[in-house]
Amino acid sequence: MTRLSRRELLLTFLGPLVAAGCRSGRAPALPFEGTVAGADDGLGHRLRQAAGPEPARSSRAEVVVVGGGLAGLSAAWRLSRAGLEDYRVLELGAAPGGTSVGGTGPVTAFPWGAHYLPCPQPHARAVELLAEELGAARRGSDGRLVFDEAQLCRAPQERVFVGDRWYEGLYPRAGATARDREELELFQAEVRRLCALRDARGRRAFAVPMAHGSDDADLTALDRISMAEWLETRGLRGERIRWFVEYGCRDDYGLGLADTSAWAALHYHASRTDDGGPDDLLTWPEGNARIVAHLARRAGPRLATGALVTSVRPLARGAEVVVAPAGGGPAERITAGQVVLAVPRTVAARLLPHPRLQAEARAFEAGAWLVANLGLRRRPRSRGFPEAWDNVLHGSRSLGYVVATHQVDRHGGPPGATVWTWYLSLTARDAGEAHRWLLGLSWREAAELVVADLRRAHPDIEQCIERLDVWRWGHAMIRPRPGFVFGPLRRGAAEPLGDVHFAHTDLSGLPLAEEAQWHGIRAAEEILARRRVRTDSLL
Amino acid sequence: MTSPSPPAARPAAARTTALFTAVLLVSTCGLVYELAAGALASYVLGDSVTQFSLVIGLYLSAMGLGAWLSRWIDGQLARRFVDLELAVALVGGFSAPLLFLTFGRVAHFRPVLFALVVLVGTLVGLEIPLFLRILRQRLEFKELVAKVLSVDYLGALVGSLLFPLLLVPRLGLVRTSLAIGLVNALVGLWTTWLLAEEIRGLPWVRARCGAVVVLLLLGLAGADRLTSLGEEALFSDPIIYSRQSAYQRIVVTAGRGSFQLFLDGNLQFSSLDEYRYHEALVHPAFAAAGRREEVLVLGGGDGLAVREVLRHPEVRRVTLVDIDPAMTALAVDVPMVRQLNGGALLDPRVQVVNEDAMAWLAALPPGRRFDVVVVDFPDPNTFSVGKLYTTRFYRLLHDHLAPEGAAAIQSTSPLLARTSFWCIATTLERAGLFVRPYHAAVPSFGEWGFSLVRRVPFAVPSGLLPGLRYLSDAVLPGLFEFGPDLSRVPAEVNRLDNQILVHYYEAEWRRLE
Repeated sequence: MTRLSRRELLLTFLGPLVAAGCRSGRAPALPFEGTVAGADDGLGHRLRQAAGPEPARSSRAEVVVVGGGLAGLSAAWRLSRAGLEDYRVLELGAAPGGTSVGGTGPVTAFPWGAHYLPCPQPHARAVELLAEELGAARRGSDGRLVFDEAQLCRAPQERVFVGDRWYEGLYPRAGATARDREELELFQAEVRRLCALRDARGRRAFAVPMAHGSDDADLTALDRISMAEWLETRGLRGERIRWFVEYGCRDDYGLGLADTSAWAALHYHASRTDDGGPDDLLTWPEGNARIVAHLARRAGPRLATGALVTSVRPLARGAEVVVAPAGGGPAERITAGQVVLAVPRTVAARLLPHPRLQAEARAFEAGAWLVANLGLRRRPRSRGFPEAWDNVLHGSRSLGYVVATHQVDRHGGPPGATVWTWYLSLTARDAGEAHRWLLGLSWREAAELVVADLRRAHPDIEQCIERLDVWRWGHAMIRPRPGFVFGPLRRGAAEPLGDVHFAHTDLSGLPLAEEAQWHGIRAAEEILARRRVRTDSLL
Repeated sequence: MTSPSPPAARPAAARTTALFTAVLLVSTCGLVYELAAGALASYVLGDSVTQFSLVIGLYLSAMGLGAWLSRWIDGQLARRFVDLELAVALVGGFSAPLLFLTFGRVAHFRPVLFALVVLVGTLVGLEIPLFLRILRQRLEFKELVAKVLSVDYLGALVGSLLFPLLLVPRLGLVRTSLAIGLVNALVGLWTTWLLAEEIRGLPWVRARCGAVVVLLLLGLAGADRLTSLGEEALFSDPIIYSRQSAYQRIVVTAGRGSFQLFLDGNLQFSSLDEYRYHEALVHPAFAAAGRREEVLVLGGGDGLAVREVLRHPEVRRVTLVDIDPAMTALAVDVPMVRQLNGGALLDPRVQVVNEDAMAWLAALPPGRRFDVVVVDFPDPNTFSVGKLYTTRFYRLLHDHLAPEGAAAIQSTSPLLARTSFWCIATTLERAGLFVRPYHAAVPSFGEWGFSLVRRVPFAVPSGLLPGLRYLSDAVLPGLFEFGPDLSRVPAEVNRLDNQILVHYYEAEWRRLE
């Protein structure tokens, strides 16, 4: 890649509005430090060249789970609940969690990826159970869950920066015309209709987990068109409604309107409530790393991190996994009754080079994300509505920032210190190109992007930053382009290959914590069924 | 070729008029310093008659001292006069900012104040005698004395009118003193032209004048760090203390025989009628509680609620939790506030904790319970304060209230913010507490509301501490009656995840603006 100029960089990553505000020429040195990290750097890519040394030792386990993200950890959690304790979880990263990892600092913990869990609807039993185990909910006298007020996302939840100040909520109401408001009303009415819609079998049109939702042909047909087309057919053409809907696509899927399946885009808005109202969310300073820590505690010493799996081979009965320490060292061959491959499909196809998996891998596309954590010594200036949990900049391609200390009354720093987690999903149509851009980005360039983006809303942001760390996610989340979710390749991808089972959120085509959990539990329950362990399904 | 000609000798009469104008300005300035010191002393130390008399007396006698000292000044009179003006400009000009900065930071404010008064008075006392001696050659003695003294007294009149009518209301005390200092410095500079031929080393003298002018201008620019002009305009009385703490802007204003505390621009109390508010906040809960030994005060860093608490002889321990160390320091270090709270925070029974009340309560061991809890937070006008009015907070309060205990919660005005008031009662009920709302008239605030709560159903309490100024057993039951314009209205429960109270409150107060 040829080096982009500063202006081109801003234009490429953040769009014309942010680039327009950029000072020309080389910027002075940034008055803070930081590091760049990323799950894809080095380790992951070693898989591609891994010839695999001959394993020096062998061992056995009833079940081996490859991948210590939410899907793999949920599979382990489900096995433990059923009394199957002879399993191992092998995670490549230094810490478990996949895209739900978090970090810690002197002021507060903070997320590096997924950072909230919407309150489950009663049909999502496993998510309810998880919420109870986390101490985030308890069963009320009427049998419904009561969520802990301290862990529900506090008000104000969202604000949006438009023009020169912040406003409450996500939709940019300031300066909206009558036609803009009418379009918003039309869209919301449609969302309300879809929220209330039940199919002939009484299922929601859209549900989380998606397996609980309807698969009626008139609904799944929405997967064949893009969200841009869907808006067009309803005459919703205004910049504001398109921005508002696209924000959801970028936020959940890393895609623009024209590239997002209409089914997936509507799922985001219409899957969680009965009335289309705002979601109730559970969130923590470290984001979903809270969930990871809980599940990792349950797995205990059976979870190994820094474990580089180089191959998975189905046997006539059972399967064989070769694993080596990521830092180098002798490999180990583990023979297991069953294996759960809880990794993205593209990785699964490399570990187990089966033609079916390789064909699927070509259809599964993950988007690239840039995440920055800004340690602030004090809050910068800010006009208009006060700081919310989620702070979004209208007119920027970034997703804005969330505030790690939003949920806490006391933290480790001086008053006013906090950590902001800033997100950018690269919505370029060509995922490979986006990936190359991202990996070509230096710390300084990434930091300049973040500062340029925030400076519009906070002119003195640079002086407030103590440090700024960056995480480059090369393959962060599955992208539900039109035709993917209800296409044949995605729908067949969860089928086991012999004694190798599959779990990962991309098997749903939607990058959601609940889907990861659902597939983990599903894979574990498939195994329990094969082993004739009698247990009620949690799905 | 023409060489720069020396300034044409002004007509003698015009020059004399100019010199008398200078006298007028100088005497105006002198009086303003005196008034500023007197005002500050009476604001800060209270008891305005004594303080004012003391400052005026000291100032005048210091002027006498100055006049007496003038006899040792000889030769180079014009130049010495310019230097004197510069000294007055610096010492007088920076006197109010200096007092402003020391007030609340030093234990003994009075000596600093009086030393400054004496110093400024002495310098000002030197002015007229020197002037008389400078003009001695120009006028006959009787005419000289008549004119100089009459202009001097006229200047006093000008000063006494400008100070209360223009300077303090427009500029505040700090800027007034700096601006007047600037006038002195400019008079000094002007004198270098008026008496140019009598001054040796003129450029050097003028450079010094310039330096002092620049210093004072810098002071004026820096005054914004103490109080902004906009802030001065916000309050009806002069600001005598203002600090930006990590959490809020703390401002004390004073005037008309009382002083007021503002947090982020919102009145917290006026020394005139705060006793009505604090008696109403504290004593009904004490009357309702079964025991009165362990007391918790949340918010209320000014120490005034603690003062009322300590009137009860059974109290063994008081824990005051206020997030802002600057507030509890104000209650101890600022004489006028400490006087008002009777040094409550220095009482050995009182323990001060500077912590977020929600975090502190949440971290408390489950068995730690209080007999009486007084909740005195600012009104819920921001999300960070609004959280202290949620079910989450009141459940913590419930859990740490003794079974026989009682708590009182300041609940904003049921008249001006009726839905907000009843929202607080509704939220307390949802947290499992039994609530008896009541209200009291506090002239500075208007009709003010409170919520008395216990963990068990209870009747309107009686048996108040005798000897209160406002409350008695006879008037107490009336406080629990709500007329038609105050009676209950439906309101949602305030939760951390909706903070509906902040929205109610903002809507209700915006309506009044």
